[in-house]
Amino acid sequence: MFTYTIKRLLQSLIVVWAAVTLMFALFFIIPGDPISLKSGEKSLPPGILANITAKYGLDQPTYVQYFRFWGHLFKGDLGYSYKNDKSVNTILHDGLSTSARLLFWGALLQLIIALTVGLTSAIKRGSLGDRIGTIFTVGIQGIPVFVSGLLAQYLFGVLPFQMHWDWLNFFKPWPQSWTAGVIPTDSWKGIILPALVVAVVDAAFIARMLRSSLLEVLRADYIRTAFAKGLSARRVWFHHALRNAMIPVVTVYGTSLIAIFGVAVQTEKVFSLPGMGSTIADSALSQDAPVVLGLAIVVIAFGAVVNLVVDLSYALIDPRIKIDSKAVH
Amino acid sequence: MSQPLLHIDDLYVHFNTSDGVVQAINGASLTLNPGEIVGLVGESGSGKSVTAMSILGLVPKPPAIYPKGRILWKGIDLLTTPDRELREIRGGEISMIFQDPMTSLNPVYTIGHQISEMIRVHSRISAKTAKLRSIEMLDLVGMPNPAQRIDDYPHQFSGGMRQRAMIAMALSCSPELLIADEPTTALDVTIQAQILEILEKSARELNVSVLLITHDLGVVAGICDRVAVMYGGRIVEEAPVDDLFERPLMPYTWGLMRSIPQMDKVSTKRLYTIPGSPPVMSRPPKGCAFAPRCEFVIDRCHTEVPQLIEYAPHRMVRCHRVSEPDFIAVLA
Repeated sequence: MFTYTIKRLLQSLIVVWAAVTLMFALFFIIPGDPISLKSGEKSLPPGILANITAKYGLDQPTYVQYFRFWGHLFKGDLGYSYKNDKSVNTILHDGLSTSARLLFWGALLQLIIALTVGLTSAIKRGSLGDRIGTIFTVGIQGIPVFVSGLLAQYLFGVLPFQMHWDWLNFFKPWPQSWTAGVIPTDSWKGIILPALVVAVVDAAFIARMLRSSLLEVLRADYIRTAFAKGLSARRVWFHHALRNAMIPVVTVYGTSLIAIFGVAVQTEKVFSLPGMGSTIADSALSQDAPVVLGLAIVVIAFGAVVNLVVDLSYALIDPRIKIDSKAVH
Repeated sequence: MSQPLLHIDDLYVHFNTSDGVVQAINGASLTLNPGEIVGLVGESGSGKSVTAMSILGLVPKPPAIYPKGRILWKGIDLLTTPDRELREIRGGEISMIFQDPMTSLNPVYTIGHQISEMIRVHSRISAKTAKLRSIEMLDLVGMPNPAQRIDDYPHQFSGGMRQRAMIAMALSCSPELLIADEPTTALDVTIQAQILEILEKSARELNVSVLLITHDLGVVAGICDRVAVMYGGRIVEEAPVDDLFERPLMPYTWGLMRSIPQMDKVSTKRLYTIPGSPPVMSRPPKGCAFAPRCEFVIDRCHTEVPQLIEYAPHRMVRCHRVSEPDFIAVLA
């Protein structure tokens, strides 16, 4: 398992390299240059333009820029933004900490919602709860974030404010101080709505996945054996059925974790949170290569780690699945 | 005779389906005494598995309904026993093994975990003691190296070994009754005999009654004391095993006997088959369920359900014609 993990991590490095190279190439292919975009409408005198271009090293041949980028990267330096001269490390650190917290709480909430809805609707199949769950899961999947976000703001912010239902008002500012990275020290209320908006989209999908997977497992012979052993229904569901139903759920949860990175970014926009949301769009439009590349590295690395954890978890869930180092090419 | 261990009294089990009510069991009665091995024989759909599952309350309700009847376990009716008490009986007093050992064990837990789990549900003992008990049980059913194999997962065992593990698990809480639902059907022929032998040996050793459900009369002849034949949701004949094989009283049993290939008789004739097919239990025949396939049918068979009568001591039969003086001679 250890060898496998190392191999997989090395593979991810290749993926990062390929992605960065591709994006680097793209920045040279697309028309326009970041310096004239930076100056906006005004056209700069040629001397100043040349100076600025030289300052960012953009006067060098492409391959020199490329190797310089890697040289700095190995030292942990992602370079400086063309747009505002801020260190990319700082931009990512500030923006990503908010995004990461939103992602963390969104993902956690997503798991809780998916497990609760999926389990109840599978166990109480055909009940009122199952029907409500089905309507909820089918209905919510199609709603884009800018709709669900605004709807949430209205229902749990604007409306309670107008009606003076203070207890229902969850439209509060994002927490300012945190402990252990993700736990807010001032107020929880500000997290709930954005995290919920991030969570619900895929939570619905995962819940449906869990429901169908569980329904199949609950028909299995070993579930009948478990009941015949004299175990309580709760024990059978949680100990015997749930673990067997988890493989497809873990797969979609992993994919969803990567996908909701994008959802989190949109949610930040809707809730005006100080995350990466606007930075990503702005940097791409102004061809701010260092920022975009830096962000891409983080996202790709995150994806690689999530995929690795998902693969390793298969072997933990089901002993029939062997993590075989020979299977990796 | 002592009090019966299990007495199924005029049991009806129906299923509400989209095609109407399926009358799986229509008045089945069966008695099991302590230490007895009883075979319940019938073809697919005769209701034998539903009977067995009903004893442990493993038939999901809905769709199942129990319009009539009782299942008396040492005098208490299992059909009305609350779930909490039923759970103590399941595994603790009555345990069950199933047809397919490949799918009857949970693939994600070790054999040892699954046996110990059951032991610890029924007795307050430590995990360590439960493990020792599991090893002991696996040893009893002839599992080689039980102390090592206890940490293996089901997929690391062969079918026969898995069924041994199932038997070990079923016997681990010293039950008084073991229900074996087609325990050898899914196994290789060579393994079948071994499993039956282990089943009989352990049951006799631990003085456990066995209700052996099978469609295979050969299996019954091998290990049972008494046989009940089921057809169309009713017991149609019940007899000590030797008597039944010597002289079947019910035309259905007679047909079953004739359709067993005989090794000691050289025959050029094709093997006998009972004509027709089993009744559709959503629309069961009005009279005797076997009437449409019976060679000896009379008008009365189509209109009136025969009663289960005691033809001779310990010999129960459900047939209108059995009381005719020369009918038995015809069957012989």
